[in-house]
Amino acid sequence: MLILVFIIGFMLLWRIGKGASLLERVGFALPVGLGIITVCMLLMDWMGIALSRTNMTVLTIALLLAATAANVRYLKLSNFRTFKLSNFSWFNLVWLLLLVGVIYLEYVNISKCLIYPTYDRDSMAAFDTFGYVCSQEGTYLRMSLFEPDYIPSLQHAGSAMGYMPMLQLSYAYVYIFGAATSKAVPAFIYLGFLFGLYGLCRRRLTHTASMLVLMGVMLTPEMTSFASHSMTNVMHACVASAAIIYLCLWLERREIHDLRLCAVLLAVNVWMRAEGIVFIGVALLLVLSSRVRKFESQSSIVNGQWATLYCLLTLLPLVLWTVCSHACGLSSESALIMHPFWDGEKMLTILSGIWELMSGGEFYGWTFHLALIMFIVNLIYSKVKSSPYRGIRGGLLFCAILLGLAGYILVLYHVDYQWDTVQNVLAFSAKRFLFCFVPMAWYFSVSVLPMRKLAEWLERTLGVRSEELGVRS
Amino acid sequence: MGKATNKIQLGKWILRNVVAAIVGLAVFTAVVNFNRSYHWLWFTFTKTNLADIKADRHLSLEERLAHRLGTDYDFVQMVKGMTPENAVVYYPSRDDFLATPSHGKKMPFRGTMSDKVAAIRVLYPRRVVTAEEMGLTPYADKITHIAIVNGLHRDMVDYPCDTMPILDVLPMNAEDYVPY
Repeated sequence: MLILVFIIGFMLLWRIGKGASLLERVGFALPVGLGIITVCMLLMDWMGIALSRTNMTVLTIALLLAATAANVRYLKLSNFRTFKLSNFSWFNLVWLLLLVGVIYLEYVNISKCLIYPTYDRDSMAAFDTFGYVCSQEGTYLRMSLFEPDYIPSLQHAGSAMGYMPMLQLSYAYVYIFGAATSKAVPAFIYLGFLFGLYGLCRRRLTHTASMLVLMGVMLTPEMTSFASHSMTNVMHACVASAAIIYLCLWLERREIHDLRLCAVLLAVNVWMRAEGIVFIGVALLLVLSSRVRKFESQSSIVNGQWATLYCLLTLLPLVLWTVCSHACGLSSESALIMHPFWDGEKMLTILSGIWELMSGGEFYGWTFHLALIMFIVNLIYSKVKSSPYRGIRGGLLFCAILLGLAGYILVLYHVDYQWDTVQNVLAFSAKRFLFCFVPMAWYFSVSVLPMRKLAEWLERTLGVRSEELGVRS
Repeated sequence: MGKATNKIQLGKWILRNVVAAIVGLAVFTAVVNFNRSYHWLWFTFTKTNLADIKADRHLSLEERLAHRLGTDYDFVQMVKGMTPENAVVYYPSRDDFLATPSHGKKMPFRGTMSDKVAAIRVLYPRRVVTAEEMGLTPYADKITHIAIVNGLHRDMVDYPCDTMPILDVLPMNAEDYVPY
């Protein structure tokens, strides 16, 4: 059934992302498909329709038919004929070695993911168990775990009951169809992400540079070690980072399909984790700032108002869950301080904690060091080449990273630490929040102009037929 | 003539690529050896996990989980095996799991299954009640079984037990108690 969900997601991406490559559509099809299915599951559950195997089969087939109907115009044979085998004139041993490294690390990750059932504490204490019990009882909103009498602690501030339901319902979906474990979901979302990220990289980078981005992400110790777990962080990072990269591509090229893909992935991002709202904020800020300062010519395909509307629409999943959880009595005490306040000591603790995490090299290797170096290199390069416009454009993703970090710091600052200390949250949870920035940082580091020129020269030098490089500048 | 030119070009391509690959490998080796966390990921993480996967791939799902979660998981499986599906189980706290028993050896518990919701993942559809919830939930009055870990909470049953087991599941109702 997960294959059908993949096809539903693929069809949607096919419809809205006409300019995207096959790799991108394949890569992000599963999270998008799961997003659609789980929204429908929640609505069904809210209406009192049981989440049974029969109903899920009907829902899946109905969505599949709807997706096929929406694509019927585009499913002509002539559209498939446009695919052609890539020419391999760029092929070189460095790319091959990087590919072998990526495959080796992903083999370890996916084997660990599929061999072991869920055993990480966070998933057993929330996501996986919620999904399992939902599949057994045929309801998420009214399942026994959410009875206040049964688990009083779930009514406390910051409890798992208030988490966005996408992954819990995704796990419920696979359990409903008899899966012994739910690990296929994280395994295939991450595998797909690697394909999607490679496709995304290929929009601006050479094959070798794209593979270097993948290797950099895969080699990030904390992220790869968490990629085989069922908790939401890595899956959220995959979706959120891709959404922001799409946004930057749209700001550069103003191609409508990039904006649509960005919007869909931003919606899935906030449907997975509520703090994904940070990235919607980043998107809105960048879109609004692009209207003030023209990054691109006046011949924009989509004007800023439409872009703003797209970004605002991505908030719909959050609105749906807020309304639905309040209506069904699932809202726990808020863990956030909702009024403005100033606590210098708290802010300093958070800032120093984030700085230690990012600069230490223990959890993310040299990911963020390299991004900072490349930002400076890019500034110097654009100054030397007297091209400030290119410098600004090249630093767009770096700005997005900084804005996203500022958003996360604000969220951490506004959390009311009653159930845990801020130091514990920084040491054990915040390190996982930063996964979102890892793919962005690697993409940025390798895509700054000097690095791109270096990679293009390398591929020209090492390629089989240098004059036929198919790299778009 | 054409073939000879092609051979020269192929030779150049191989030479350039071999040199580039050697340089690339040297850079990679330096990076992995210089940064402790990259070294951990490339050598320790991958090798340990591959060895575990190789050893565990023929085991059942329960056995694989027991390998990852340790004695704690075996204990919850034992509770599951000793209680009916409609049982309401009093479940030990993290402190109980990590306590030293008054007699016998200390058990190698790690507290991996001390969370109530994690225990429910294995024990479902049995209901679970923890020490902190006593008096807060109506299920506290409906407890049918006491999960004993490190010999603790045997006093919750009001009938004499003939042994002092470190690990056990005792029914609240004396009539259901089966002596060893």
